[in-house]
Amino acid sequence: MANRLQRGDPAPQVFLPRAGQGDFDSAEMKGRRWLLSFHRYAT
Amino acid sequence: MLTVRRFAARHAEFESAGVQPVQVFHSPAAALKDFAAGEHAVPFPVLADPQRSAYRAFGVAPSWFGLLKPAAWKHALQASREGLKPNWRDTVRDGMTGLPADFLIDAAGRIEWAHYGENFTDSLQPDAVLALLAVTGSRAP
Repeated sequence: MANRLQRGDPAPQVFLPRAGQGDFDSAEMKGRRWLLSFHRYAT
Repeated sequence: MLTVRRFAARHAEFESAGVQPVQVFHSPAAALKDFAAGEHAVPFPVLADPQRSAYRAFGVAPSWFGLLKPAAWKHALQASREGLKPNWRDTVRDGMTGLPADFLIDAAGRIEWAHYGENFTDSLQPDAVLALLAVTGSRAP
């Protein structure tokens, strides 16, 4: 089983293509609370 | 996709709660373009991770057992009733064994709480997230 994150752990950096255009960098969320949800596929 | 639609419909409540949803898929960016414009556009970032790099970093692992849970197929049936049909080409391309997960991340970049799904539809729904935020404020129980 993969190592699971728990409360208090630092969130890994996320740098991924964004739907539409450009990239998302989790650094842009600094200072904000955010809910990161992982799914399978989009259809 | 059903979950994404539900989050989009409740986006104002997430804004009021001070929480920004961000959703990640196995799918390539080209398959997600409908979330960026048109009738299916959503007001939060939707990200493409076909290499699964973020999934691995957050410990979100695939599982064949997740396909065997009856609760998953109940949710899939509900999606079908709401007009969302599986696209088998995309299913094959992006894989069937992925499990969902949800993480609330605080302003300092630390995990406030983590939810690892036990089957392929076991994502936290907006009602559950908003209820948690209302009851616990910044902390999950």
